[in-house]
This record gives sequence, structure tokens and C-alpha cells, in this order.
Amino acid sequence: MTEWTPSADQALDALLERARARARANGADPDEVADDVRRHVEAELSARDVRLVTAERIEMVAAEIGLGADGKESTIPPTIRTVDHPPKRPLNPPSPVWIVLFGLVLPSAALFIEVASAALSEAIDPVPSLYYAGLIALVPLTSLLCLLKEESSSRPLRALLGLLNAMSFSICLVYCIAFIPMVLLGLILMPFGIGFLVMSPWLALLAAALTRIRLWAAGTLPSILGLPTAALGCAAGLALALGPEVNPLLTELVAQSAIRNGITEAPTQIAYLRRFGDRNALLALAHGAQPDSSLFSHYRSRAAGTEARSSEPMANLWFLVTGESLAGASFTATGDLQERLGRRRRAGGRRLPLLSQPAGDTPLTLAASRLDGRLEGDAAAAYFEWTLTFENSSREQKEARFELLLPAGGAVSRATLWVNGKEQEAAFGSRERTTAAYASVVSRRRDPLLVTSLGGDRAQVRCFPVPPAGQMKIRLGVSAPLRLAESDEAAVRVPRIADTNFEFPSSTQHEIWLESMEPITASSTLLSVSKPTDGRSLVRGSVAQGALDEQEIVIRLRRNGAPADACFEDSTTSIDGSLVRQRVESITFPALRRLVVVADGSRGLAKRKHAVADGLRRMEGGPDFLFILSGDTPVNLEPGPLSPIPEQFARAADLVESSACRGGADAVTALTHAWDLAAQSEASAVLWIHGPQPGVIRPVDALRQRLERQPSNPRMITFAVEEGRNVVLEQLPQRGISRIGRTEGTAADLARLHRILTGREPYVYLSRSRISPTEAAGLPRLASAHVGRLWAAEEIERLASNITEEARQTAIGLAMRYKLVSSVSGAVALESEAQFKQFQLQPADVSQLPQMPAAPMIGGAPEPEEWALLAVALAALAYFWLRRRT
Amino acid sequence: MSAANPLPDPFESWTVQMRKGLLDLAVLNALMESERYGYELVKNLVHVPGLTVTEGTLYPLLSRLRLQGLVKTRLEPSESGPARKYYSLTSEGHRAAKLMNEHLEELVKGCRSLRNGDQQ
Repeated sequence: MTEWTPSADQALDALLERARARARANGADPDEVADDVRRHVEAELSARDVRLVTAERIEMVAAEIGLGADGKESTIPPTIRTVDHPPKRPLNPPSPVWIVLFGLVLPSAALFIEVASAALSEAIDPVPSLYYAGLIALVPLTSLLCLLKEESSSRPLRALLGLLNAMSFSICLVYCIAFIPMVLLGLILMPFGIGFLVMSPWLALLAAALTRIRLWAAGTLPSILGLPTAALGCAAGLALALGPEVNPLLTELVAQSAIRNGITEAPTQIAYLRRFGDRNALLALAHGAQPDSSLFSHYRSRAAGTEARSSEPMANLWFLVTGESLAGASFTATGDLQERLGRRRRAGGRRLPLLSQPAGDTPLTLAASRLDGRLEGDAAAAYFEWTLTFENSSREQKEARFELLLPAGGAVSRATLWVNGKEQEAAFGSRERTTAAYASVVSRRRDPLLVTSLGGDRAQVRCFPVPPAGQMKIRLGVSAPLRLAESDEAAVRVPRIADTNFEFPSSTQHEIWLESMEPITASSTLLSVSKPTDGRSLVRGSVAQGALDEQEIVIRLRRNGAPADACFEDSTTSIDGSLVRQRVESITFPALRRLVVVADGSRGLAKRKHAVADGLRRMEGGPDFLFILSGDTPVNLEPGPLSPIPEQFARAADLVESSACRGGADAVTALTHAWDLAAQSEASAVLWIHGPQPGVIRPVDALRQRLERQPSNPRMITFAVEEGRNVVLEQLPQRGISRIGRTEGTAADLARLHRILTGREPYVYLSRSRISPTEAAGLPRLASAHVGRLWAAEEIERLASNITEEARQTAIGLAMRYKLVSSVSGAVALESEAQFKQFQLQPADVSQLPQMPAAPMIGGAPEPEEWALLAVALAALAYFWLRRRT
Repeated sequence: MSAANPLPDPFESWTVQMRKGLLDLAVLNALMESERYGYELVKNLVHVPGLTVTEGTLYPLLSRLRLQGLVKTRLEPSESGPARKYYSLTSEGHRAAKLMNEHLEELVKGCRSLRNGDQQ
């Protein structure tokens, strides 16, 4: 291989320029002469087997051919020059036919056939992404370019040809390694033609080598920046072909190392994964699959076996690294061709069960969203109906899945599925029965909708199938209590959806329409307030998912003249003819002596950390105040003088604001430590300010033991700044933990909570109880479709917390009677009566379900049937009038 | 002054002029029988006294002849290095070579006759 020094390049350029000048002086073609001279120089160098070409060597040849820099002709007789007696080279220039066949036609055909049919993708995926399609396309393009321009005298072009050819060669080499498991099959199938496709990497590799020989035969391949194009091209090709493999592989290795060491004992690995880790690879591992979109996935799969591995430690690692919920995490787009073409469902290189499909790379979108709501001042209750339409642009059925974040104390009280354009109401039954019905029907790929409670004012909604290139429409009804903010004001937070496995196109907005007969206002300017002439008060607007997720939209209602104590007839169902009594109650807590606040330092708090800091700064006075920020390592705020001086709150606020809120945080360690600090004092409490906790990093046993053995002091109070799954709370005993129902914004709620906990403000709330008609005597009697349900929702959870089976069955019976989704019950809508019967479920009667009241018609013309009714009534009046006269 | 600008040797000056005039014809004659590549032509010409040329002179000459339509070229892959460029006469080149040879014959004859006084 010949190498040129930069000065040799310059000397040759100067020589060619002199040749052009002489050609011009002689009326010849300058470029042709320069080309002849260049070819002559290369022949001389080749004949002399020069390995390193220097400027002196070029000048010597230039002098020999009469084009020396000094203008003198050579004194060396031509007969002793070496150009005509070169050493024989071992290879003849190969025929271009092989290059056309194996370097141009075959790789092009193989790429086209694989993209069109995905024939090999189940065994080996040669085109895992668009990126790899581009790499493969480089091979035939390079062959074509080399064939067309191999005789070119342009040094930059020849250098480019040399570089591309070497890149093409190394890309083919990588594919040859990937295709090793297919060699035998390819050889067997070659007589049938299809084997040529399987063997195309080897044949293309051969063609690239033959192309190189032809390039060498046509002339020297100049170096680039002093480096031979062969070395440079091979390095570039290998980097391009293997580059995408490196980070997923490193991520997997580092993740496995973190698991081996224990994820809480591997700060270096966690830091690496947070900074450099491949998100898709980590997500695939958390799902118990292999990282994908890789040319060598099949090698990994063989090494790992075919059975899905336990992924719990990986799922916890996922939470620690990202702070995200695994259920709602999306694969970032990889350009997967087959996914885009809708041919396969990918989950980290392995098919996952249908109901475990992760989000991401998903063609599932929300096509329409409509949220209607009605707030009742007297009943201090709200009813929302959320109608959602999903659209599936892929070629296979998809499950739409999301979490419904309910207003505090709310419950799903209606679920409707549109089947063939008709509304099918859900049946309410035990959680086990409805879930089993859903899973069974899904496995037969028919239409079900399932709503189950996740606890903590959250419900999970799953519906299947959103048909290929089709839509699916559902409606969810939510009954929720209004929280008393002031004596004559109540508030409710607008429900939201989260952890979706579908996307929100920018064209889709949530169309929100909330109304009441009492004056209502919204905390957000996203919603506008209006007051139609019919007496209703309206709040409405079109809100994007991002904005709805970002803002804490609270609707406030003036309860002008609403009774503080009243009984409500249950219009839907009744138990022994009793009524529900709802009254405003107030309690002033005994002042705490010590309050230990634990703030969540995970990603879940990131959006609200400034609001939390604001809430902390609004705190004043009160008991001993200690503060812990949970994170990879809990940060304690040094208590200093144990006095509730404003600086203490300000320091805590600064600490929260300065927190990176990156990844997951070890809340258990911080809470356990906080409990120990609080337990040192009588009348103490631990206040946990947290975001969603979709994973748990350390076992909760130590904390659970404390709460089980000593539930009364300190009290554990949880304040969720953001609704979402809280695995830590799920694993702790419910007794002894108070969840704060949110009423307003984070800062205001926090400050108010502090005032309540320190005994400086009474806690005002609505209590509901069943009373007999006798007990109701003297109380104002009102009607509401929702107060009975709200009582039932509370009663169900109270019964469900009882460990006896009898109480649990009573809770299930109550949930079925009131048509509520709770911790013991779910709602499932099936496609047909037969399916309901099969699972011993009965779809809800529409008359027993809550509904949005129809808008009043004011000043409108009567409908035809109304005219008819009017006519009949007039006719009857006329008849009776005439009879009386006669 | 005369030492600074000596007059050129009359013979040397004449041979240069002769060489210039005959080089085209010599190349055409060398290609009369078969095609040749550049260095082959250089070797052929070196055997003719006074017509020794280097490639630096030959390539422009061949390029000019090609532009004049007298020679054509083709590339052939070489075992020993870059492809070789072979030159051969076009039919126009053959005709031109024939005319030039005839004219040269006439010139030489004429010069000789002048020396021998044949014309008188």
C-alpha cells in the first residue's frame, strides 16, 4: 500500500500544473495532459514499488519526464527507466460483472425484500432501524460510484472512492458476523435462489474487495490527512455499524453491575446510567426483555435464553435512574422500520404479553377528549363525565391504557363503551371477577373496557381493542366530593389522565365544560368563566394535555346559603329507606410538639418543587421543625436551634429548590429516619411531601414495623403534590397514615395544612352518615344523585380496610349496589350479553347511573312531539269545556 | 556584450527547428503499424537521433494530435499499476501521415537535388 506525504501531494499538484501550462502552450487539452502525467507518475512509483512517496521522489520523476521544477530535462536515458519493467502484481483486475451482481444488484435487492417483507426479522433483524437501512444502502451506492468513477484522475474523488469502498467493506464484514448463524441455511438454499439473499453480506464483502482491486489498478488512492483511505474507511465503517451497539451494551453491563452490587450501593453505576445510559435499553431490561434495535439482538437472545427473566430489580433500577413509572414509560423513537410499517410489536427485542405492552413508538393516539362536569353547591358534590376517543394508526389491535387521577375522595361511578356505535354500560363487580372477565375477553380479542382502582384517588383504565386504522370510544363518570375551602366556599380539582400508553397529537385538546347553578370560578386562565342567561355558571376551555398536566386546575364554588347540616334522599338506591346525612364539621387538632417534614427529592417532585418551596416559606410558628430531603442519600436539615424560626422554613425551601429532582429517590430510608426523629417527642408527626413513587428502592419492613407497632405517635401524614402510583404507601399499613385530600394549589394547601397541624386553624370537613327517616326529622331534606354514592365510597373503603372476609364481601355488595369502582370492585364493559352472563355480571341499568343533566331549553321552539302533546292537551281541554257547557 | 549574448550554434538551432517540425510525423509513423502507449513511443523515438523526447513533451503533442482528430485513445487496465492509455491512428491520422511522408520525401529529394545541382 502506497502512502503519500503531504509534501508529495503538493509536489504532484505543482507538477500537474506545469503539465497543464505546457499543454496550453502547445494547443493541447490541459486536463488530458495532466491526467497522462499523473498516470505516468503513478506507473513509475508502482514500477519502483515505492511505499512512501515523498516530494523528492515526485521531483525526480518530474525531471525524468522533462517537467522538473527547474525546467531541465532528465539526463537519464529512457531505456533504463523502470516504468516499462515493473514487478508483476499477483492479481488481475477483476471483471466488473461480479461487482455489479454482488455489490450492486444483490444488496439492493436484499434491502428491498427485507424492508418489504421482513422475511428474516424473526430470526435475525438485518434492518432493525432506518439507520441500518442507510448503512446497507451505502454498499450498492458505493459499488455504483466506484464503477462509474474508477478511472477518474481527480485526487479528492479518488480519495473519496477509496474511503467509501473501505467503509462498505467493513459494513459488510459486520453483517457477515451477524449472519454467521444463517450460513448453513444460506448455503443449502443457494440452489433455490433465496440463499443468495441470506449470503448477500458475504457476496457483497467479496464485491467490495474486488472493487478495491479495480481501484488500485486504475491508479493510486490518495491518502486523507496523511492516513490511508483503507484504514480510515474501515475504522469509519466499523464505528458506524457498531456504534449503535455500544451504548445499549454498556448500559446493560452497568445495569447488571448495579443489580449485583445492590442498587443502593452502586452510586457510580447509577450516575453513569443517569448521564449516559441508553433509555430504551434500560426500559427493555426493566420489562424483562433484551435491548433491541440492534443487529446482534439474536446473539443476546441466545445467550439469555428464551424465557422472560424476573425483572423486579431492573424495574426498581429503572425507577431509581429515571424516577418514572415503568407502566407509562415510552420507548423513544428508534426509527424501527417494521414497527413503523406495523408488522411487529416490539418490546426490547422480545414479544411481550399483550397486556404488558410498554408505551412508546406507539401509533396509538387520543383523537378526541371531552370533559363535562356538574357541581352541586348544596350537596357539595361534583359529577364529571370524560369521553375519550382513541385512534390506532397501526395494522394491529392495540390496548389503550392510562391512569385516571380523580379529585380527592372521588370514585368512578360509570363506565361506558361504544360497541358498533351503541353505548354499552359496564357491569360493576368484584375486582377479581371484572379483571378476570377483561383478561379472558382480551385473549379472544373482543371488546372490553376495564376500570379498577389503584388507590390514592387513582383508577386504571384499560380498553381493548382499538382496531387497526380505527377508533375506540369510551366514557367514564366520576363522582367526587367538594372540599370545603372556606365556610361558604368549596373547591374541587379537575380530574386528569396520566401514565398513558398513547400520545396526544397537538390537534387534540381536552374540551372542558363545567357548570353549576352556583357561581363557580377556575384557578387557571386556561378556562374562561361565563354566565348564560339560564342561571347556570360556566367554566370552559380547550386545554392541551401538557397544560392540564402542568397546572393544578381547581374549580371553586360559592355555597350561598347551603345548609351546614342536611339529609339527602338517595335517588339511585336506598338501604332500608334510610337517608344520608351530610354536615359540616370542624375539628381543631391538638398542637404538635414536633413536626418532621420529608420532601421527596425524586423526579416526581420536579414540576412542583418551587410550589413546595413556596408552601414551606409560607409556614410560620408552630412546633419543632425538622426537615429531610430524600434522595440518593437523604439530606438532613440541621435542626440548629430547635425553634420554628422563619429561617428554618426558608432553609428547607432553599434545599427543595436546589434539589436536582433527578431519577428516583429512596423515600423509605428518609421516612424511617424521620419517624425515629419524630418518635423522640410526644405529639409528633411526620409529613411526607411527595410525588408519584412508582418504585421502591429499599424494603419497607423497618418502616412498616414502626407503623404497625406504634401507629398513634408519631402520626404519618402524606401530602401528594402530584397524583400517581405510590408503591411505598401500597406496602405500608393503611392504619396510622393520613392522606391529605388536596383542595387548592400546592403552596396554599401546604401552608393551610401546617396551620391545621399546629392547631391554629380548625379542619373543616363534611361528614356523611346513614340515618333513619326518624333521625332526619327536622333536618332540611335535599336531593342529590351523588351524596349517597360519596357516602358509599367512604363506607366501602372503611369496610375494605377491615381484614375480615365478611366485611370485604359487604364492601363488594355495597360497591355493586352503588355502581362504584373501589379497592374491592371494578367495572367492566363487555361486547355482548352472552359475555356478561359467562362471567355472572350484569351491565348497569342506565336509570341507576349518574348522568349529566340535560341543558335547559330557553326560548327555543317546541319539538314536533311537544307540539303534538300540546295539541292533545288543548283538545282535551276543549272537550271537557264543551261537555261542561252541555 | 557579445560574450553576454552569444549567438546560438547554427546547427543546434537548426536541429531544434527540424525536431519540432518532424516530431508530429515521427509519432504518427510510430503509430502507423500498431497502437502504442506513451512510454513505448518515448522508447521508439529515442532510437532516432535528434528526436529524443520526454513524456513532458510527448503528452502535450499526443493530446494535440487527438484534438486534431489524428489519433484516438483507449484505456486498458494494467497488471503493473494504473491503467495504460493506448494511442492509435484514426483514418484521418493515416491519411495525414501519408501526406506528410510524401511531402517530406519531396522536401528531402529537393534538398538533395539542390546539393547535387540536379535541378540545373
